[in-house]
Amino acid sequence: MIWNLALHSLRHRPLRTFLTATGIAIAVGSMVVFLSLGEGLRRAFASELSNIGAELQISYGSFETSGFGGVPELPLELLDDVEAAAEPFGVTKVVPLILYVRGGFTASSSFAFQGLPADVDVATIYPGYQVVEGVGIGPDDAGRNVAVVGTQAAERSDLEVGDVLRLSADATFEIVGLAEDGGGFLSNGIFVPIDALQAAIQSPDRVSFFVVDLADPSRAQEAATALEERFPELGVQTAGDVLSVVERGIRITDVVRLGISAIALIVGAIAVANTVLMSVFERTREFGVVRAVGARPRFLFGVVLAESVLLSVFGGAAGVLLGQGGAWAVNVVSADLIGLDVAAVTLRLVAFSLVVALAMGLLSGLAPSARAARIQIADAVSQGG
Amino acid sequence: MLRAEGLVRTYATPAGPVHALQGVDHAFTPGRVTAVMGPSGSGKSTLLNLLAGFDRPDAGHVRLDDLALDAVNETRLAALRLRHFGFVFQASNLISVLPARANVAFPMGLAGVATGERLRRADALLERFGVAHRGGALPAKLSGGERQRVALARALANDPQVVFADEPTGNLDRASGREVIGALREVAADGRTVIVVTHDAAVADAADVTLAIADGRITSVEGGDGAEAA
Repeated sequence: MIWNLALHSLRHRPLRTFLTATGIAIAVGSMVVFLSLGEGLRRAFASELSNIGAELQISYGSFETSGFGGVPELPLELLDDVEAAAEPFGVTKVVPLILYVRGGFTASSSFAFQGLPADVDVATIYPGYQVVEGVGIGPDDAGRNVAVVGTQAAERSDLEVGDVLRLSADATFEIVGLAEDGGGFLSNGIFVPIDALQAAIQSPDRVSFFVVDLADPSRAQEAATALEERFPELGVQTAGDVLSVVERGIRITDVVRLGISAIALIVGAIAVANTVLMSVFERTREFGVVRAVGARPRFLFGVVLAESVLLSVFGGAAGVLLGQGGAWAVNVVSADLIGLDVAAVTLRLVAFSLVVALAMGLLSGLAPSARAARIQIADAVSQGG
Repeated sequence: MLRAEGLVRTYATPAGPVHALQGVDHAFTPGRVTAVMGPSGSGKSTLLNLLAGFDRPDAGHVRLDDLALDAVNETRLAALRLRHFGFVFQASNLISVLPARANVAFPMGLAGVATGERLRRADALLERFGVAHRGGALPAKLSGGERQRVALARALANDPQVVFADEPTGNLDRASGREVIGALREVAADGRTVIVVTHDAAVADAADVTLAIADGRITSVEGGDGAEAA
């Protein structure tokens, strides 16, 4: 009876119900879009990291401080020692790598350079990587300023084989090939010989990482522990560690995005509370009659709370659909700019959004419900009306 | 039987205390229509509020058979109103968002009557008061007379002992008012106690007993047979 009466009340005032539900839908929809960015990034990182063949990644210090394209700090001279220390764990190769980001004001003028030894087959580190136009980098290219550009980076920045990429005032790289790995970060990267990149950024004896490939991937954690003991100044991460660092970063942004969303949610909750409270004021006499014919105070409490919850859940469901549309639009833009779908409306995000909407309905309905339950019959039925 | 015993009710106002009832005694006889008449501010609405359990007396008691209403808590009072009392108010006393049929079935739903049974009984009550054809209409689409007849049908939903009517003809034209008075007499003929608070002389003329009330006291009882002394 409570739900039936609440539903009738909402249907009886369709415009008010529609407008309030729309407000909630916009609030929840904006939250879905904001939070879908985190979900999309998680997916993208997990997908990309699963494409990396190496089991371990070694940096100078923790991964958080050295992992994202800054100045290389890892002494190259440690390479042989690391290889020797990893030997007992069945190491197949240790490859030095430089990640260097040349920032620009727009996505099309920003480039992520990856320097690898010219004699290393990129596909052994990034399975699925293949040259689709021109040629790849081979042993003869050591020290040469040549580059293989990911197809998405090439498309975004309008680059072709034969074009010249400028890294700094003194360093340029000629594009000799285009490569792809099926989408994502690697298709957005620019691969160059590591010694040429070291020269270009004037860091001849430092690199960003060593990537370690093991014959038996199940020994990665064991090897990481041993290497950390042997080289306490280094950070040794398994693929799972890298993912957890990324996850931690995304969680921080989750909090920020949720905080921004909370503003919209609070406004939505106030709108619901206002609508339901107005409705209680307008129906004081009617509620008095309902109490007079035998309803208990908690019946009216339930009816008003049910109205608030129905408004919020309907609005929340519409908000999820709206958010899905918003996430799709974000992905259209992000795919064009960086070749990645950065937004994803996952099942858990949908469930979270509906729970938030439900909580919003319950919280915003409490005060109006309590007021309805306190209505005095004698005062209410004596009101004009 | 419903009895008022020494009812006293005083309201505190910024201008000082208002003595709305100053010792009212009366026994309301089943099977009779009792009209409570008096000028504005005489205390008749206060008397109805106390008799119906909407308010509690400062002194005295309202008894339904042997039960003192002022001695029970709000939950039990709600249950008592649900099962033993029916109400018709002056206007807007139907739930605006429910059709007439659902309005009549509403108290039965609160009492836990199964859906099929309550709709069957609602239809029978609407039929009795000649508004069965309006069962699907929302209150706003009903005429004043139709609304009051639907309200009467709802008042009888749980087969109450006592039916209270507060100015039931106040918003009606004379013809509709006569219909409602006739319906109230029918309700009393079932053996129920009908108490009507009214300014309408036509209602008083049709009542079996008329209580005149002024300044919070009963000043006269007409038409009684002596059984009304509490």
